Amino acid sequence: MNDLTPAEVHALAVALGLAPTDDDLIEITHRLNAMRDALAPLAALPLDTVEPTPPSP
Amino acid sequence: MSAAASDLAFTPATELAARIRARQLSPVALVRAFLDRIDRLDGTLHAYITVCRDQALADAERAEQAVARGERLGPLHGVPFAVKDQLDATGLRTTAGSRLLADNVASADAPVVARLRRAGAILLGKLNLTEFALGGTQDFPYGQPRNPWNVAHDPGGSSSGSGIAAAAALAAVTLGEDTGGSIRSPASNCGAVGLRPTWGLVPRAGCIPLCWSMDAIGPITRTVEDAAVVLSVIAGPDPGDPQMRQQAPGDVLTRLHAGVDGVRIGIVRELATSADTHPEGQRAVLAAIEQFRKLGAKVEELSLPLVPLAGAVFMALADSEGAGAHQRWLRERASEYDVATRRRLLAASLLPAAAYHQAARARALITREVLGALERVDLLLAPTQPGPAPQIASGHAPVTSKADAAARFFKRRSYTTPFNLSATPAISVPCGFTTTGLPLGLQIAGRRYDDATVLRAAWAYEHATAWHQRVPPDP
Repeated sequence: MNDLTPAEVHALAVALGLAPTDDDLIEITHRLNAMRDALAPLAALPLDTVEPTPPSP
Repeated sequence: MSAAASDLAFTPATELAARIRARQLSPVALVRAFLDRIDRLDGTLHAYITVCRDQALADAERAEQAVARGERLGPLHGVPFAVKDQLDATGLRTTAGSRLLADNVASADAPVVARLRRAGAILLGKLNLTEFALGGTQDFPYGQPRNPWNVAHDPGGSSSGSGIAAAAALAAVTLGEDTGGSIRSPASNCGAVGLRPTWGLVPRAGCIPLCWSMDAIGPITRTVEDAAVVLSVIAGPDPGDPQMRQQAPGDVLTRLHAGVDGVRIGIVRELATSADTHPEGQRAVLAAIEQFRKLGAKVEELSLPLVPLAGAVFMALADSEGAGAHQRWLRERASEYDVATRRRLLAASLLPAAAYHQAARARALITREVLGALERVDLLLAPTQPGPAPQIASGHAPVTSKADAAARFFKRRSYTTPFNLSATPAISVPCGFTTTGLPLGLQIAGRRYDDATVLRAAWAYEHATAWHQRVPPDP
């Protein structure tokens, strides 16, 4: 999985009506790429064996 | 301040209430003692955003008159408390630690505040927090909260002021809110007791939300018994909250002192002996395990392999929900956020819905793992945090890479969030100090709606050790 670039992240943000500053954009890109890496191992889990429902009280 | 006044402030709330009932202590004198400490210390510690001095003194006068008239008194009659500034109190602003809500005045008490007042407690004020309870705030609009054990260090968050006020005796008891560790983290960093109750046990109305399926209000106090008493006051059905359990809560007080003989405790291997856990924290947890064995508990090590994923799964869910709630302000008032809050919410805004959905399924697997372990044992035990409180300055450094982001945001949260994701109760109690004098926290988690066993084990450990008797130096 390739990392997102700041230009790609900027395009995504603009499409959603968000306007990060140039400094914001650098950190947002690091955060998004870290999140994508951190969630990548989920692909190896048996996610289709469970429903995505939160606990009920 | 005299030593006697300082001793009074550090006296457990249960004992303060008993002395007031016995007419040995004036509620007015007690409130004045806490206000004096706030005047003297809070200019450095910044636990409070709002102090309601005049109202507290007026309430204390009324409390004193009620004692004199021989009225029936609540369990916390005359005891001063303070709440995280995420919770509403009539006539006071609820800022959520943000400039965006600087003028947001509440028209009613949150149910938890109303319940504490009905129990006789006296509101001293509203406590500092990281912006919108998200964590990581760099520029606190209401003052940089500081750890009472070393003011260069972070008090933890997001209930930063609640942890400080409990540990430094700036209130007798406090309330925090814990979505991903926000009660247990400041309790651990500040050397206090912090209980995240079972999700659904305590009403959340009047609390500025972060994540509907994980937000939980609970006490941060100096003793386990005080936490149990506060929980017994604030827990219980709220017909206005469909996410509440609409049944009377279990009794957490009757068997609080019953001990842990025969209780089965599982040590979470992935947290207790992880390379990410500070060596002094590992040693403190090992010593706690031995203490529990001496108390008669049956202790075994067990593995929860999905726990290291919990931090990222939690952030995918909670941050996405937070971003959803903040979309309008992110478009219209982005510059008014703290820079770290803004960047965290902007990043979460760009996370694909499919990733959120996958995280929700992973949450179900993590929940199954935690609840499965809690069928084999009564309690789970782990360090509350990977290490002691970091320096404040370290959190202000810019994020320089995705590896830096992962290390700073996901690993730490994997210690507390397994119990948020699984909606189970968890407490942090002091379990030692580093050689540099910073507190360490021990986390004890239990089955849903079995907060009583969590508190019972915490009380047994607390009373077998002396960590809770240490008090921080004046800054």
